[in-house]
Amino acid sequence: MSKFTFAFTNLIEYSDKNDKVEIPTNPVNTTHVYPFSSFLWRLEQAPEILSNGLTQFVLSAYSMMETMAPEVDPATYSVDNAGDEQLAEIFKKNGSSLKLKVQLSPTVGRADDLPQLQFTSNNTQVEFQLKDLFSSVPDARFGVETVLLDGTPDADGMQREQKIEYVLNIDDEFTPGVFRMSNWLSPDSCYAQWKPVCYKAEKRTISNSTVVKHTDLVQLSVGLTEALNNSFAYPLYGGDLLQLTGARAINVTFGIPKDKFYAATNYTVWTVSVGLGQPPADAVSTLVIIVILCGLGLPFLLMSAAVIYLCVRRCRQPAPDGAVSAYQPINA
Amino acid sequence: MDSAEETSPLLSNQSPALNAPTGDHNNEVEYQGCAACNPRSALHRYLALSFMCFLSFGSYFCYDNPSALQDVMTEDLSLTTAQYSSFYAWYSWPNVVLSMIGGYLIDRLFGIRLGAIIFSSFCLVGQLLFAFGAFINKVWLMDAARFLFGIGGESLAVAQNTYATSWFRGHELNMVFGIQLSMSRIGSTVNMNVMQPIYHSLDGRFSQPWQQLGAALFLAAFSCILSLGCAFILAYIDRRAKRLLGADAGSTGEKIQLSDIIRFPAAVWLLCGICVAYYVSVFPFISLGQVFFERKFNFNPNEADAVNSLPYIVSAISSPVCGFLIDRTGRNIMWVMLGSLMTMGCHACLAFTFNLSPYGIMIWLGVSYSILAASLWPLVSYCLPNHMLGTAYGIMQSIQNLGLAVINQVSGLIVDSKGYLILEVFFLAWLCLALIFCAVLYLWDISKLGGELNKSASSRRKDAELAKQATEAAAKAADEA
Repeated sequence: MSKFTFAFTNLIEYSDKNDKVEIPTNPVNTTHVYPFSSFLWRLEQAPEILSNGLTQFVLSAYSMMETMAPEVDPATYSVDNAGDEQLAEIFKKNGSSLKLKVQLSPTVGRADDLPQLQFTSNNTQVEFQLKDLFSSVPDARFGVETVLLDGTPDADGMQREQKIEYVLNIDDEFTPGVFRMSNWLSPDSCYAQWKPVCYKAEKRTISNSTVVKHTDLVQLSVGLTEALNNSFAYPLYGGDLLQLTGARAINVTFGIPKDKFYAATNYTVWTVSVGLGQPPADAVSTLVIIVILCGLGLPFLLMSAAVIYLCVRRCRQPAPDGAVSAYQPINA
Repeated sequence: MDSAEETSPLLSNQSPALNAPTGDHNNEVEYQGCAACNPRSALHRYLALSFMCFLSFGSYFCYDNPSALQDVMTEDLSLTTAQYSSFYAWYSWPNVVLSMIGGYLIDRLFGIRLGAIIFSSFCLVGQLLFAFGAFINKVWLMDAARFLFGIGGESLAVAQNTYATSWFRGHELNMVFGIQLSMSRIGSTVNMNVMQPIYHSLDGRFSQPWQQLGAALFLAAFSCILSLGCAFILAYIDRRAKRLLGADAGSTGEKIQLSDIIRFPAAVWLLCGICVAYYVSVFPFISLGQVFFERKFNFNPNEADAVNSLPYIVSAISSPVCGFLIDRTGRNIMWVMLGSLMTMGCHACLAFTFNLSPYGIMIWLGVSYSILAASLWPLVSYCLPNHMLGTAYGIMQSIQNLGLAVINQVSGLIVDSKGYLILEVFFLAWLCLALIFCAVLYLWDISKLGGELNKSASSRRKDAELAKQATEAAAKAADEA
């Protein structure tokens, strides 16, 4: 039986002093890591079948201290897992939320919202949304750490080597302005797929879009496996998750230099599609083909017809020389 | 009979001797002065050309002042994006109609000399009011000023086209259009590079930031004074040349009628169609180009901006060169087709490939734009007599402005909803339409005019020679009769 796990493990808040959209590698006291296992979750929207046939539900995160809402003094932060007080900080603002919107489709199709990733019957799309999170520094950005766990060995019994590949596509019809697809593969087994774009506002347009970057694949660390042991992965894989060589993690960051940080819009939404088998590929859509055929083909047909008509007309005209001269020679 | 002896001046050492006309073609004055002042000589034409080029320099320079000073304008006057864009909207939208009216007024009422002076003055007054509006921090006055400036600017371009055709028909007309195109780019580029330093050179002299802005715009108005001066000089040169060449006396004094417009040959409407179909596939693309290059080719904003402005820079250099080439070879319709095909190639490469360097493609786009612009506009002069040209150019410019205004909006909508590939295919479709118009024009030309529009340069020269010999022979016959 195939099984795999795609997990959001940590929410990372970091102060981007150099404005490079990179999570500092050395522990600094302005980087806070909030494990997803320390969030509590409520079902904001129960699973329902939408009018377009998709099944959808929304999970919203909150901290234990939310209902108590004490005024927490900014303490000295540490890189270690933050306690509940620090966690409550990011949800301080009114209307702040961290939401996961999950959508599945029984049939092949596309999502309605940008980036309009493809559905197969074997995948699920997760929209990761950060709204109005509070940070005490003005140059704060948020990132998320994600893990792809695949215990299924390949045909030779070896653990699969995960990799991230980028597919170029000339057709950006479904995600205007985005010509690439990132595929994080456990080859022939499972995948996580996303377009390297996230949106800075609820209205998703090209002008509100920005870049999604990620770090290289790294093996699971002790800290990560602690987090995973508290998650659904534990009963799935059991035992020592560190032994699982078919597991990798990346840090995903949002934004580009000089975009005035998370505080510019206080909103980020990123969609990732996870599923079994091969990731769906975007082909050139039928609309484009029809438009090209009509827009270019018809005129060229007309032009060719005109050229052929001209040639035929020219060929039909009597040749100027070689015709019988109107004059009769006097001296025969 | 030696008619040369009869017509040579009695007092040949004086300049310029007025000769008693003995035949219609001898209304011209026998000219004895220096070559540069001789209306027949090429040198005099180029002297007039230099003034023609600077005639609309002021309008191109001042047109893009808001763009060059965008950040300081937005800050000093506390503008929203919509208010800033309105400076361009107030120029463009009225000119959908005003170019046509301006051209008609030049043909019907003012004549080319007075028309150029009047529209130059509109530019100057408009820019002065714009500066004054900034000085007293009244945005509504600035909008009204841009409207006035627009009345002058586009109609002045029509006047410039008419001057060029009137002086260079039968000579280097294509190159002249190329040079004028070049000047428009140069004017814009000089503006982009010079206005910020001008603005900052006034730092600290004014109590309010908008006063500094107003002062900088006043200084920019000097370019309009230069243009107005050129208009006066050109009026004098043109009047003198017409007097010396006897052209005014020889002309029938016809003026265009409104009904003439409806009876314009089909070629003129086809040329308008080619013009709008081509221009809407180039300029809206450049206005959306920066983000396209950032997203598709992963350029940073500076690189994307540099690539995006390549067509303008390249066309400033290549327009006169292409114009010269087209003058040598003739066959304008072929060149128009070539320009369209080359541009289609550019759009196809940008749409369907990742690997080809955008730098090369955009340079290619600049060259193809030069080819088309230098070969398209002179074609109008081959279709119509002189006294209808202002109106024709005005109509062509009006339709072009309308097309650009509408397609700019439509392009934005297409990109937001359907992405850049569909947008490129959209532009390709417009270029196909331009090609179709071109093909129809070619066929029309062959059937109606016997290939007149697409003549090669050498056959035009032959025709001119034959015509000249014919008139001389007719005059000789008239003399002898």
